[in-house]
Amino acid sequence: MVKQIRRRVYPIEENCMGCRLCEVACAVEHSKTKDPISAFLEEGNPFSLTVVEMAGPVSFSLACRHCDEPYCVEACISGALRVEDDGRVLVYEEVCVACGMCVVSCPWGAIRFREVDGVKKAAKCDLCPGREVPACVAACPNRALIFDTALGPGLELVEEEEIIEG
Amino acid sequence: MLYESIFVFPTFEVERDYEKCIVCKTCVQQCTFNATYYLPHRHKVVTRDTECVGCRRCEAMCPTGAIKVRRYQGEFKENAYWSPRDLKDLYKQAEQGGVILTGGGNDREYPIYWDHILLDACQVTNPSIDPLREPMELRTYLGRKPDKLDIGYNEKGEPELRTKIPPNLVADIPVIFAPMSYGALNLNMHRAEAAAAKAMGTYWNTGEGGLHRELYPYGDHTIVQVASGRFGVHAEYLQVSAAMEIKIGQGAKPGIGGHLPGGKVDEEISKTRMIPVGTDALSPAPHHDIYSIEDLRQLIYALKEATNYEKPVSVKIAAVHNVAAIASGIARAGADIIVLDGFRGGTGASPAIVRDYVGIPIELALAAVDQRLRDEGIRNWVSLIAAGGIRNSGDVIKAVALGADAVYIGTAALLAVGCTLCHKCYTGRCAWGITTNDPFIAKRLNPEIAAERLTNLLRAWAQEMKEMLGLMGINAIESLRGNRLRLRAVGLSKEEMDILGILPAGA
Amino acid sequence: MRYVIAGNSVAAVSAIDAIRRRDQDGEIYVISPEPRTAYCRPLITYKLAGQVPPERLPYRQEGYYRAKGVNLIYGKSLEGLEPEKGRVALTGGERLEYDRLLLAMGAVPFMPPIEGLDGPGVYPFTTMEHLELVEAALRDWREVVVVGAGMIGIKAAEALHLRGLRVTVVELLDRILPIVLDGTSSVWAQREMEKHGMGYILGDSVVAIERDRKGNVQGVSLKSGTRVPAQGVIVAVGVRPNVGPLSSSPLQINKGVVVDDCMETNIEGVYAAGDIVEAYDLILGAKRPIQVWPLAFRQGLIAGANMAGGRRRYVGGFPINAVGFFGFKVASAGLSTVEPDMEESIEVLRFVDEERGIFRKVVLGNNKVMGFLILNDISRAGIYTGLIWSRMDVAGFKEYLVDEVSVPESCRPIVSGTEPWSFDTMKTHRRFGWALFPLSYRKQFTAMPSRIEEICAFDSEVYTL
Repeated sequence: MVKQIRRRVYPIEENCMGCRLCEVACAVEHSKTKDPISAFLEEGNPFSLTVVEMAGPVSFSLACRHCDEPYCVEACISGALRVEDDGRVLVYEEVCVACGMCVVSCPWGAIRFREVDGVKKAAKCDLCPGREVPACVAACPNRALIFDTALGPGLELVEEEEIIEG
Repeated sequence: MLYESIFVFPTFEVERDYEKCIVCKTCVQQCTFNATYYLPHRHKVVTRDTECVGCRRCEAMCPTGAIKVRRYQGEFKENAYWSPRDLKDLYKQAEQGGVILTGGGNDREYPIYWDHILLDACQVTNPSIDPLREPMELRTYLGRKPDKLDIGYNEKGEPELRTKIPPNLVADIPVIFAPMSYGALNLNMHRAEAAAAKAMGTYWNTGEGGLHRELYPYGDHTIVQVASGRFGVHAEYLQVSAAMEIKIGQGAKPGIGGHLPGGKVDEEISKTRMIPVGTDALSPAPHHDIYSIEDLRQLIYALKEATNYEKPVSVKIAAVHNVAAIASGIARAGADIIVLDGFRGGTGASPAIVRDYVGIPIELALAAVDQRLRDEGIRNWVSLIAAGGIRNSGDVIKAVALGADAVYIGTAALLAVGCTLCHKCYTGRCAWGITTNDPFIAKRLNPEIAAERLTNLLRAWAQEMKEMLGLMGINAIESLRGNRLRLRAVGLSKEEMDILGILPAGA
Repeated sequence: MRYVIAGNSVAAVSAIDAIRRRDQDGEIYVISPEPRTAYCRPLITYKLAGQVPPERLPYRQEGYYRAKGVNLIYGKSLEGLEPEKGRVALTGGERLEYDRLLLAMGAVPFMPPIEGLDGPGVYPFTTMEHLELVEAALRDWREVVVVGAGMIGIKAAEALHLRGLRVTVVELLDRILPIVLDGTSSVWAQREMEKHGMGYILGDSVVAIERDRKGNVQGVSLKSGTRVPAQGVIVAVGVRPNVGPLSSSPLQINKGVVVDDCMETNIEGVYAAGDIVEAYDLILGAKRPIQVWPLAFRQGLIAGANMAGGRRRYVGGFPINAVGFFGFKVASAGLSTVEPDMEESIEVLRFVDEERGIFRKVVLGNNKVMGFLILNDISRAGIYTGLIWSRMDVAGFKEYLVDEVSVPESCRPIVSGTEPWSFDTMKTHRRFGWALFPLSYRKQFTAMPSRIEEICAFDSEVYTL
């Protein structure tokens, strides 16, 4: 079996206080200027790829899980969603036709449409290329988001079902 | 403001720079006092200044630094006698007819004796010690010490100790977390205290609200309290502890009891305190079975009996006028440790009038008690813990030199995890998630982060204390205890210096 | 080990991936009837509309096959199966031996018995070849009739409309997208089409295609007697599993090739995946062909893994669809057409606000989500799909499933109303999503990136209608 490095952000709901600074950080990181004030006040339509789920005192920030066998990649009719060698699941915006299959398939609701220059494209967590730690994790004041670069437990779980030769 | 009493004047105002405000509404979500709110139709965040308690949570959380919380600029006519606080309190009472409540410690202007005491240092004739090069001992033993040691020889002719040493607490640093109950604080804070105490080899104190079962594994580092309400006291509670403490009084509110409102008594607190959910937890002002030193002795020995004489028993009293005589009585009643809680000590809830005007400074109380016990020749019967307003390692060193074996830190510990001394502990809405059990807010205190911060604080203080010991040429904290010659006073009267037992600077 | 894959679309590609994850050395042959690499079939309508440049059509490029060490046989189809000899017959009589065979030949368009159907000007619309034919014919066409208002029909009609043609859609049933939309929602969708000037005729069918003497299409006549002038006809009344070449083999074929939960057919070593199969339907609890892209991918993956010696189980599937035309989006999965009074055992939760264009419907059976249908803003609709996969009991949070501040609003601040909000009002905000779900599910799936349907303990219990 090819060992793959997995990179994921895990939410810790016990520590999430629902301040939504992760959403702010994500929107800023994925803006043109990467400056909070410009991103929100000048660029308009700030867009966060992570969503703080809330229900009573329960809250946590949920973005793409970067699944081992992503539902979205299966559903993508244009090949715009791909699993990278480092385990990230990325959208290639120029290929996306905004059909919505990924949006309907992702059980975490982690993919949404983002309108860029009047054109809708699927948008999802890209683990902040160029940052050592994703923006949401860096912004969380209460360690409610953990960036894990180790081999995820999910992968092992799938392996249990598979008896691999050699 | 519309629909509000016209007699409410703000203390703080929130200045929001709308050039910088990105309307993320984090401040709205963080303002547990509902002072800051969002107007959807105007897409704007504004603040009702009258509700602002000055906790500065919004300021800390604002991602763009658009918020400044500051003193309200509107002013009453200048008056050297009536302060704005007096006016506002009076208006409030005229409006509501009740006792003004507060939390935290006494914040009024009284002399701070710590700041009139200076430390000695070695020069030429007595060498100082470099703590980075030489061993430096901060370990302290808390408990009764024998009057004399009986040493004999065994059959091989080797010397051996014949005296049975009474049970002692061993603290690697003479700083212990002060009693703050589960209920006043949330479980996250207790988790953090327990973890930090364990990591630093010291102790934490449950306060009078019992010990949550989850924290039993930290029992070896836990001092459990037995207070007038007897909340959460049962055999197992006593048995898992490192020491037991009988709480007679509290520095912030000597002579009055405690009150945890029923609204704060949730499922977990109810289980821990052993009271029904939603009922007020009222601690009586006195212990109704203690009206004399002899009664106290009964309880002390009841606790010792219950734990097979294996654990020291501490008695905590507020620093009041005749504290020295009371302490002597407590020592003679069989206590192993006496905790003196000064008037700067904090509280979760207290009438402001009591907090502000009752009790005496810990510096004077400590010096008086230490001297009295020495004069009576029973200083070795008990260890002294000074509590109530220890702000830094300098205060710890001075307290030790005045006669303390160790100190309690309560307010300092809360500050370490975010408290900004807004003194709204009694509301149960602490925006920093410390003195609240509201599940929405208590999550703000991550026990892991809080434990790290407490550990860092103690580590920093330990380092500073070693430096101070070194410069005085002392290599063990126990050698400094009661060593008032290493202290000098500045700006104190003769009487004050007499009580403190220290000389004026220059003498 | 020699793997032969008949067909070259998404199931074939995912099977190749799965095989190569386990077996780097085995030979892989891919029989590709079309002389090109795998391409994105659903994209051909986008290409026709001019929304996608031709270079975006390939799903995988030549380089992919090279990297995976795949031998591509272009221009040949599987013509017969000789399992006793362990080989398949290809176009031209050639034989190819296999150790493991994957049947992934997909489906073929169904051509209804209409007079005058054969001949130029009448095309189905499922392959690149059809696209090329239609593109070539476009310059002679001004008016087009699209027969069938399903996914392909609607998308083709939209594309042709965008190319400036006058399009009339003829549908036998009384609503458009009949397998996805219910009564109310189809009215909305029709209105959207009308707004853009697209014509439709419902509840009618084409009985004859009129041609002139040269054979050119002149129009179609309908059962009702109406005549619609047209120079071209697109037939999109559905597809059928491409089981024709297998009919003489001992393969068990019902509507499609019947497979077990390892995607293996009744013949050992012969697997099937994609539109050709009749696999387990998670919701109906029976085997039936479900011709959607994501399931083809999944089945290919499972089949590939099992072919290469792994052991993976296909839990089942259900239709998942997302379709959009003129910016109008429809998302659905599972049982989406069920009307509230259709079945007693089924509960339909709806939130409809015409003014704001909100249509959300969730179909519950025994307090488990069996399907949903959302129009317009489809953000986070996948959470419902996840609920179907997990078979979670939703009784505890039923009232939040389709309330006013439901899925789309859950991802942005709620701005409705003029009431100021403070901390206490924010406490009452509930954003639909995972936070509402029971702790055990929440913990498991927010922490683990695994397949929900594989982890959730499935007993033999199935949804029953």
